[in-house]
Amino acid sequence: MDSRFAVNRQVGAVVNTQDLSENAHDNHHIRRPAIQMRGVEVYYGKGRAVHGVDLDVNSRQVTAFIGPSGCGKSTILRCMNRMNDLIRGCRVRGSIQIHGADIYDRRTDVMELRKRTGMVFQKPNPFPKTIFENVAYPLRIHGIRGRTQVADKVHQSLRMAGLWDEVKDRLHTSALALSGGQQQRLCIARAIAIDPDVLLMDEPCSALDPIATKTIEGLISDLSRTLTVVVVTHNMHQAMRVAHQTAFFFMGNLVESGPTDRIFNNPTQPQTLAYVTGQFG
Amino acid sequence: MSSGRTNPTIGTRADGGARQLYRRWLDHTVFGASFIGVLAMIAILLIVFAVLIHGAWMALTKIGWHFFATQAWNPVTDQYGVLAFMYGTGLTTFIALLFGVPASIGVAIFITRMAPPFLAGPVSFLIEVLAAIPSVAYGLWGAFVMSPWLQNYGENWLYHVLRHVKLIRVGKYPNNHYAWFPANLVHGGPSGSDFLAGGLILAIMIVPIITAITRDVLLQFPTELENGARGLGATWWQTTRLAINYCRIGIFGAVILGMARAIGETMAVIMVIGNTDQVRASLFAGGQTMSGVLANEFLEADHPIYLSAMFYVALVLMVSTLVTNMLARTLLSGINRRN
Ligand SMILES: Nc1ncnc2c1ncn2[C@@H]1O[C@H](COP(=O)(O)OP(=O)(O)OP(=O)(O)O)[C@@H](O)[C@H]1O
Ligand SMILES: [Mg+2]
Repeated sequence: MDSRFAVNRQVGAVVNTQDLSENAHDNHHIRRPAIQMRGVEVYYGKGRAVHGVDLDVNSRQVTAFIGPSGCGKSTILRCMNRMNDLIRGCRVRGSIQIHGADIYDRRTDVMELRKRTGMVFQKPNPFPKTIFENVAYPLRIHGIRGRTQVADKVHQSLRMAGLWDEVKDRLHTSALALSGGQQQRLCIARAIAIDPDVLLMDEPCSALDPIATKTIEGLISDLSRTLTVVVVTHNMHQAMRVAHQTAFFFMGNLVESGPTDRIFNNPTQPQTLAYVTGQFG
Repeated sequence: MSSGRTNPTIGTRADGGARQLYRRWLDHTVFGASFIGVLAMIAILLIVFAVLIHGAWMALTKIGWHFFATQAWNPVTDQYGVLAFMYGTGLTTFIALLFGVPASIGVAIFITRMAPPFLAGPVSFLIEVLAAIPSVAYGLWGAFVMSPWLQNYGENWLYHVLRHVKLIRVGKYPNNHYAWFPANLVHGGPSGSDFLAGGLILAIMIVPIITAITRDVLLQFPTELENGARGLGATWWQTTRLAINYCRIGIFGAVILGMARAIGETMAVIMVIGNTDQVRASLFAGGQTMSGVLANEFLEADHPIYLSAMFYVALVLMVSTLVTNMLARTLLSGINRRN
């Protein structure tokens, strides 16, 4: 506890060194970051998987995490909704704030945090329930009971996920009968059904064919109008297509972050250059 | 030879016939052996049935359906009825499931979803050890530890809690008319040798099997779904409910196996149930089960109709086990189809 606050204070000074100025000219106004990470370190048992990451994630933009396998992208993503809590032996140090609230504070209600930060996984993971019940599940577990309220929300989420036209006649059939791409969009609909502020996606397209991938990418862009999206990807073209900001990780370190254009065309770090030009990874 | 190996023509034997023949021979042998095994199982079932029916023939013809409407079992007056024993088996099994199933599911949840690894292993092992204890040992423990405790403490307390609860029971009213009338759930002095004791000892005995199977099916709950639910903000218990729901068919199967064990279990029960032929609503009344009466009296059946009535009880026991299993299967496929 103490050491975390120590890190917290120590890093206070670092904030301004971030590329806040660059955010100014990519858009109309300076945004307050939705997520602020300062000195974040993650340990699995004794091994340190993430070394002191300082990162701002802009509100209502898409931020892509790129980097070679095993560099800690998923680990950092899981810090943002405290899914790491579920991994035995995993410890997180440093500070992570979402909209100004320290999510690792002792008083943080983790269920409430996860309600506000939806998560989409690499492998589509619909529940073995009907399509309707899949999207209704988050509503029900968070105490929304009214029939019409639930139905409205389910329909709205399915529309937002671009799935409505394909499933409107089979809402009450098993979700497992959907195709992989449809299942992934169902999982997105499920994740946004409770109106999260942040959507965390861990390689959401890596199990899908190019067409389904295109659909999901379009969806990500649409969603970023109202949501903050963080998407981990191995596909650099995908990062270029959908992300406003890109962060490049290497061996547990954040090497470089900034507007996607700059990271791919004009990186300051040699490692970034090597990675985006396909020299390793 | 070697050219045949590198460029075999489809359908020819690449490396001589011996190995190929051996592989085919193996196929046929294993196939045949399995088939014979199945036939043997069916034959044994049919033979057992035939023997039971043959043995029970006299009772079947002389007593017939009255067997199921007679509560008394009195070899001295040649009165034989299975009603009390069916009731005893049913009630003790019900009590066993009532206590045993929640306990088993709870322990399985503890092992799979709560316990840290250093505890999960030993607890699992302990449960398996419980399954290996012979039932007569449970009976001894029941008769010398549980029954006295029930008599002196447990049932007194239970009496105060349940004394106003009334059930409907069927029984012999004046003039041999059967009637439904209210009866107390707890009635009479605590004896410690009664339906409750029989049910409780069965509950303890079915916990290992139900726990072991439930644990195994709960372990099948995919991590992706676990993470999916937790990622949406589901609490531990909400996720656990999802897991139970996901595994419900397997858990149901576990319960059925536990039930089959409870119905068939004999030794431990006769040591604590009181061994009387009566249908009583009271948990504190003594009773008897179908398997219990068989074990207790098979040496005493010294005249033909007595022996034949015993076979009749065995037949009823076997048919009720079969029917329960078939009902369970139908239920299971019903659940499956609904999915
Ligand atoms: N549950 C875990 N227990 C122990 N170590 C882990 C665990 N999860 C990840 N690690 C380790 O942490 C490091 C970062 O892993 P992480 O999964 O975050 O990488 P990643 O960048 O997401 O890789 P990929 O692109 O392959 O998904 C790796 O060295 C990995 O071995
Ligand atoms: Mg990963």
